[in-house]
Amino acid sequence: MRINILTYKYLKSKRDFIKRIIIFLFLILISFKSFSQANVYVLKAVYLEKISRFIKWPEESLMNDIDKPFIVSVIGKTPLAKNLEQIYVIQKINNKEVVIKRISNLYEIENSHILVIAESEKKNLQNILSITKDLPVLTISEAPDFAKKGVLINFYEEDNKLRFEINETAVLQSPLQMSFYLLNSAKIINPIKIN
Amino acid sequence: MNIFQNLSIKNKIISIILFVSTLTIVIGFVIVGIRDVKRLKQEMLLNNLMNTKLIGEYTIAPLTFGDNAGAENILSKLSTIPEIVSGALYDHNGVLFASYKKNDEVFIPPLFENPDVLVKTISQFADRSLNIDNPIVYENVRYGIISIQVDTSMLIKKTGENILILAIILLGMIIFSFILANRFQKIISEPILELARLTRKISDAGDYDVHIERKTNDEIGVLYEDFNNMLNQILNREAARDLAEKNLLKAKEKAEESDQLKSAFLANMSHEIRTPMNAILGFAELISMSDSEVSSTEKENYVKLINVSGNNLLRLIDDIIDISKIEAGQIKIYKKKCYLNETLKDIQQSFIELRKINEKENIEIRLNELAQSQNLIIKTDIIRLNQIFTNLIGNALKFTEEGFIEFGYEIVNNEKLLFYIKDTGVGMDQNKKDLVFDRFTKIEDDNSRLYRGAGLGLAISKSLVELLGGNIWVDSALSAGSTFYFNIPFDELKESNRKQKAISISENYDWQNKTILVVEDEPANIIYIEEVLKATKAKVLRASNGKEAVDIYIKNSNNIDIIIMDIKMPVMNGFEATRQIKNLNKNIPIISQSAYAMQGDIDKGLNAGMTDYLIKPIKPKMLLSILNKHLNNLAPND
Repeated sequence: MRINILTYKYLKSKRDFIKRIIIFLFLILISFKSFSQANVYVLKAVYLEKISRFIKWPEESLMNDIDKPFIVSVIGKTPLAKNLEQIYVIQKINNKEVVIKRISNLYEIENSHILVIAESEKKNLQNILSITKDLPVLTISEAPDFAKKGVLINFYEEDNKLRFEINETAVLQSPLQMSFYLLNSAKIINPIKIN
Repeated sequence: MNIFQNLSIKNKIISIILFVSTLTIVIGFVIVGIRDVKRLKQEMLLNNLMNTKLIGEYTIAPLTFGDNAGAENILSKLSTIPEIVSGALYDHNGVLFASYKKNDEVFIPPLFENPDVLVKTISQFADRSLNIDNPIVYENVRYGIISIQVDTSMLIKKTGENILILAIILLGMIIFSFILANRFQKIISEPILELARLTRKISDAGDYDVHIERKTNDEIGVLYEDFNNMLNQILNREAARDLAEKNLLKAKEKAEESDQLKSAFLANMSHEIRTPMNAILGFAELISMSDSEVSSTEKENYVKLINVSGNNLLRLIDDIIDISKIEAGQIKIYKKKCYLNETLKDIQQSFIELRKINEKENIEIRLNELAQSQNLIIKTDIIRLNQIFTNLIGNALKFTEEGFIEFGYEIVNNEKLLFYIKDTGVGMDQNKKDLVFDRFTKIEDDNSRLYRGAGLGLAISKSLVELLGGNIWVDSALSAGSTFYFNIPFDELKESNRKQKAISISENYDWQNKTILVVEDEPANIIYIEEVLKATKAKVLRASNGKEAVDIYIKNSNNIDIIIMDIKMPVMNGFEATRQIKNLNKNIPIISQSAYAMQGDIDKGLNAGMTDYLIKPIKPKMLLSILNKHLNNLAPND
């Protein structure tokens, strides 16, 4: 039965199958426990899409409109930007074409779905956060203490493994909604205090 | 079934209750048990499905980010559910991502083939285990598969425990129902046992005078009441039986006594009959001797003695017939008009005659003033009244040696007429006064047979008085004479203008040109009648039976003036002969001859056409008087 269904599916969409094999191989690559320093940015770039699965943008972000692109802005200098541009040529986020924008001005932040904040923006962080605080923008950083300061998700490395931390209070205050599953797999910073 | 039938009622009820309750409980428990097992299974399935799904969802993020350690950590939480043996997490390519084995055993999970196929949860109970394979999907994206194995021996164990608990409860319930049944069966069995005990008691002691108290209104109550009714019926029947038995015993005693009396009576009777018979035969022999041996005066004396003895014998036989008729209840009373004073005068007259024969001419026989002066007509049975007087006066004459006998009547009130017969005879003891009226009782004891008689006269009189509707008693003292009293209902008939018929009681009739036909089968009687009629110079024709009488009458129809007809005769009886002669000439007077006890015959004769009757023994005076009456056509037209 299983074989029949498989054969049927195989015959139905051969192209789909080939596409799957490519993704499969790619994912095997990123599933390795340990990774080289060069690869960590690839992983981060891939994680961006994965994290997006657990985030719900509000209506104003036009997530249902497939024709509108998914905008990932990168502020500051980071090798991640290049990796993002490479990966999201084909890869879609939430079925939307992805546009990677490198920005330097704060006013460019609006309309972004994800804002990647480079470590170089450390001094400007409070300004950036004051803008993103009320916007439906998922802020992601890759510097220590950035989460503590108000960035929603921050990558860090532990035991040679890429991990991320989440500022729960900041997520709660943001117009974004984050799935519990994501919290489950992350390190929680500033947990919500229930009084 | 046989064993059941041999059980006592108590045990039967208990076993029925136990059987029913046990069956019900067992059926209930089986249903509950099956449902329980199903429920447990379902519960287990649902619980583990939920656990699997929850755990699966928890592993979405680790799967997403390739966090094997995180996944392992989440899977290790399965240890809190002891029934889960192992768990395996595969990524969406079917590659093992993380695994869990209870008790940290080494676990090599099976390879998962074709993970694509698994689009929904598959759960199946295998031998002693439950396998759940659940796809992990989030937002339409498949992240992998979680597969969990659950040890169902817990289920079996739990079911076993449940069964054990149910069995213990069942046992408890059976014991409880046994206790209850044992207590409540008394409600049904106790009344039955009580009834059984009572029945046993009754059959052992034979005492039916018991009662069982009704306590309930159900069928047993009805049974009790019916039982009581039955006991009452038995009691009544017993009482009735006892009474009947008593009566029977009494009757038997009476019968035995009567039998004894009868034997004594028979012995007496043979003696009584033998005595006059001996006299008759003896004197008859003496008379047949030649004149040289016995003088003619002596012979005349002997004839007189023969006559007396014959009369005694006749009376005796009449008495016997009467008493047997009375005993058989065959005596009937025929009440008709009776000129009482004339009847009493006739009786006085006949006893004046009779005392001569008994050689007691010194005794005066008187009729009281009332009986002589009054002219009373009553309705009674003349023949029976006559008989009573004859008996009582005859009795008085027998026991009186000198003095007088007085008899008559007094009108006591409108209802009773009192008769009395007073004598100056030997009298009797006070204690014998009641006994004298008993049958076969005689005033003298056996040693001194002074007074002849069978002892029947007074008994007959008593019975006759009672038949007439009255009483008889005696007032007497030893050596001071006796007075017998009896009363009868005073049923007076008024007859204002009765012709006073002066019947000339002339002793000398002259019927020289009259012809009398005497029909009689007994030659002695014919000779007697011829002797009586000799003095009247009447011509006498003889016929020895009814047929002969009719023949003679046909031959001499114009010459015959009157016929004297006997009833019982061979060839043709008196009734038939009378009918035939009357058919030839309805005016010819026919006089029947009959005995006292044959009142029925007299009536039958009168119905057959007989003109009048003569009561045997026929006294010469009576015969002549009756013949005179009819020859001179003096008969009153009643």
